[in-house]
Amino acid sequence: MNENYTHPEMPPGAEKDILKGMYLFSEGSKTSKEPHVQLLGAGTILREVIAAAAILKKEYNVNADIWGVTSFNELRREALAISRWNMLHPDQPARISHVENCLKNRQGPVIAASDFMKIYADQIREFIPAKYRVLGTDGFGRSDTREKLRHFFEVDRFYIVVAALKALSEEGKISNQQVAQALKNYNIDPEKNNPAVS
Amino acid sequence: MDLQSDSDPQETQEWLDALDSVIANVGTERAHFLLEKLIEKARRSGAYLPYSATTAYINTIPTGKEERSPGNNAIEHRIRSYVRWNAMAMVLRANKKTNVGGHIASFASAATLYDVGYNHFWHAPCDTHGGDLVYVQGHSSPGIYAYAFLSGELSSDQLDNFRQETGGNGLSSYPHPWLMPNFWQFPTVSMGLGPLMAIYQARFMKYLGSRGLVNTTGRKIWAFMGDGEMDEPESMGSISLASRENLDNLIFVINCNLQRLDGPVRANGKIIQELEGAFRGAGWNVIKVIWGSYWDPLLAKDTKGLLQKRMMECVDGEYQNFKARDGAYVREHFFGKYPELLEMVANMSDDDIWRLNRGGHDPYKVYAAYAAAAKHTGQPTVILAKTIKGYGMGEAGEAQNITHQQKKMGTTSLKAFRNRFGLEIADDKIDEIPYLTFANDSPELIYMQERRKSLGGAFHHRKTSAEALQVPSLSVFDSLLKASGEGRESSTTMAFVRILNILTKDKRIGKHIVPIVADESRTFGMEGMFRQLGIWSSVGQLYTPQDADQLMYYKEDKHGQILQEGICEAGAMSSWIAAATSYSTHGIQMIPFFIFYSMFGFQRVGDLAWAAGDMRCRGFLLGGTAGRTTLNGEGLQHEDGHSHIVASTIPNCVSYDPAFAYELAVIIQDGLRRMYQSKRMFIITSR
Repeated sequence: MNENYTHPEMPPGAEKDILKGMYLFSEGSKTSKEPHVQLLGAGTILREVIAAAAILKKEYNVNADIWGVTSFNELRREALAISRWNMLHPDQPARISHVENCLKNRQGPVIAASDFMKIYADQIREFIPAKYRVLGTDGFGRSDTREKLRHFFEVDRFYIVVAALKALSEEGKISNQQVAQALKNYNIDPEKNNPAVS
Repeated sequence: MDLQSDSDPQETQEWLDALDSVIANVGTERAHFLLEKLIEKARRSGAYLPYSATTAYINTIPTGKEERSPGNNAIEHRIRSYVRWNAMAMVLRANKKTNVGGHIASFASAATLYDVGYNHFWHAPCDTHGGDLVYVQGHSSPGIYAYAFLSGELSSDQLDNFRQETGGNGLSSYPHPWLMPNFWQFPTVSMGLGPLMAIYQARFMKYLGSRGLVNTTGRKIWAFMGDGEMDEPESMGSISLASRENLDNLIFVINCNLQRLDGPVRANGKIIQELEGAFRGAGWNVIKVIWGSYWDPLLAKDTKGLLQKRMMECVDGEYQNFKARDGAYVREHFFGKYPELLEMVANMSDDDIWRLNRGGHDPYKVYAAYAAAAKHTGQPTVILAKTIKGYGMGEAGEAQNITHQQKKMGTTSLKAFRNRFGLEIADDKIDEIPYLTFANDSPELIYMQERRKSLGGAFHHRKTSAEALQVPSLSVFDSLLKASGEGRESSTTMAFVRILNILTKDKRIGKHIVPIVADESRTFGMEGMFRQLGIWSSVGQLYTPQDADQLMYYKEDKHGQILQEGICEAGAMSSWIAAATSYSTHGIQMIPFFIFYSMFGFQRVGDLAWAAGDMRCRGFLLGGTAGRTTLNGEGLQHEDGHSHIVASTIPNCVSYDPAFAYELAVIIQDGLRRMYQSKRMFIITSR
């Protein structure tokens, strides 16, 4: 990608998981009683996810674990292969896919965001053990600044925050009013045109 | 200008007489020289003489200049007849109990074109020769299997499993290295990709030779294609590159059987003339093989040019129709147009007229064309061979519009086929459609083996024995694994450039790296590599570049490493495929990185990417500036939000969407290890 930004150090021991398609980038507080979410980010949008996690913590006391997803395609392929093996070997202990293994002891709904069509992140839905909401860039592209485009396609940090809050409200962890207030805070027009058909 | 009316016939005759005398006394080459001089003089004097790229509708090589085959024609005919029968038999047998389909007519039209190649031209890789590469016309695959069967390379069980592959012992419908990794090299049935890939394969072979990585002396690329296939833009889209790069290691053989799937290719015109003009105009050496030897005496008698005139005015729709009829019909409708021509064939029976053969079915003419093509230097060659679709199928399909799909033949047709090619099959066996084989001590099998031995051995054998490469460990990318530091912003594209820099400097694998760009180096900040690695050019740099006084100038070099493809993603992808299969075709693992721009990667060259998966390519594709919102200013046709979805459709393509430099380093290092050290096949894309 041609977007300039600073690059963090590789989390220790992440190599194998990077190759499998998903690795833990950072963890929120494990012990706190506040709500938790799992945030999945790919490509440049991982940086929006990181920014969204900071907002969630600071403004809503929501703890986020951040996952760098290097390949939704590889996650799905591996999970499908394991699911197939399990079906064909019903009398043996079931195996578990990488994506399931990553998320199995994690709390809260899962939010994924990428700079590709929603179907890209949506393809692992079957293997997500919790509520799963996907953000992506469906629709014809157009010219503008990155900031405005990410708002237009609803994949920027504020949309990620809203998506996380909405998922938490559906689980009864926060109120609907808090989600509505967040929309107002970030100047998101609920009647905005759907980018997928704009 | 009006070429029909002659304002001074006497003067015309004087000039013609002068020309005749030159031809008689000195020869045709001198006559050609004088005519070119006259044209040049007229142009310099201000005359407008537009160039005509087509010639008369006769063979390019005059009878007297044909190189004669050293082979035993009677034995070759017998071998060819057996191959024909078996190719037909495997399709008919497969469709007796199943509905798997198959094609008889395409190979029937091309049998001689392949046979002459096997017997006299195509080298297998051996100690003294790197091996020729042949792109088989995909719909002719039954004929290729039939030849391999007769040579003992395939069993009758395998033939009986044509298009029945799930049991593990089948033969694929078309050439597919994925399905038959020890047999096929090049998939060719997405029409047009074969010719395109062959051109870039020929160029890549020159690149390897010029960089001193492989000895490519004497090696040729032979690409077979159909006349209908030439309508695909990919087929001819890069022919000017082939002549610009002087690819004399490239020979196209276009099987002009005048028919496509639905009907005639150019019913109202002549495909051979159209292709001749296009290829010669693009700078190719063109060899037309239109008429067989039985026409030679008639053409020798044609001193007034009336027969040639009739040949030219007759359109392909008629030529096809003639071969669906009989000798009497040809006499009436072809020769019957002019009383002088009827007179010319008055002593010939209808059978004699029916025997007047097409060039592509005449082993003498085909041999002469191949020999001339193989010796030609400085230009690529195209052979335009006129043939008959469904040759030998008789009433079951010969030259008929339905023939492409024909996969059933009745007893009468089978008997006619048997009789026509002199095969020994008893009447009560004919309905079994038995496979024919030669005994071990038969002159035919001994001949086949002797011919192949002299050309390096069995031809259809895909090799995978290239040496594994020792790839660097992750620690060489240490600087990318650490935090870049506050305020030190950079893109993943720049991270890739740093990775490429490290790799090209690596002592063990550096020379194997092939950076490929389609005129987007500056877009990605890669222009520094022009000077450092050099842009490969077969002639070096014949000019002083505009930016010669700068550190990072535009450097072209015979030993350059970068393939600069210009604005041609299909060409860049074809170069990538040639490099990514080099482990098989050239016995050396090359590591191609094709860096494409946004949607102009997978969306644009998706079909080539599919073929690359089939070919078990090993290489890296990089979508520079992907993501719908990341390439922000370029709008609807650039901003790519779906190439990963397309990538996921290719089963052996592993794709990544990295965010940080360390992700990219881990992915590329492991890709190198998996592909070139463990020699597993992957295409890796990261963006």
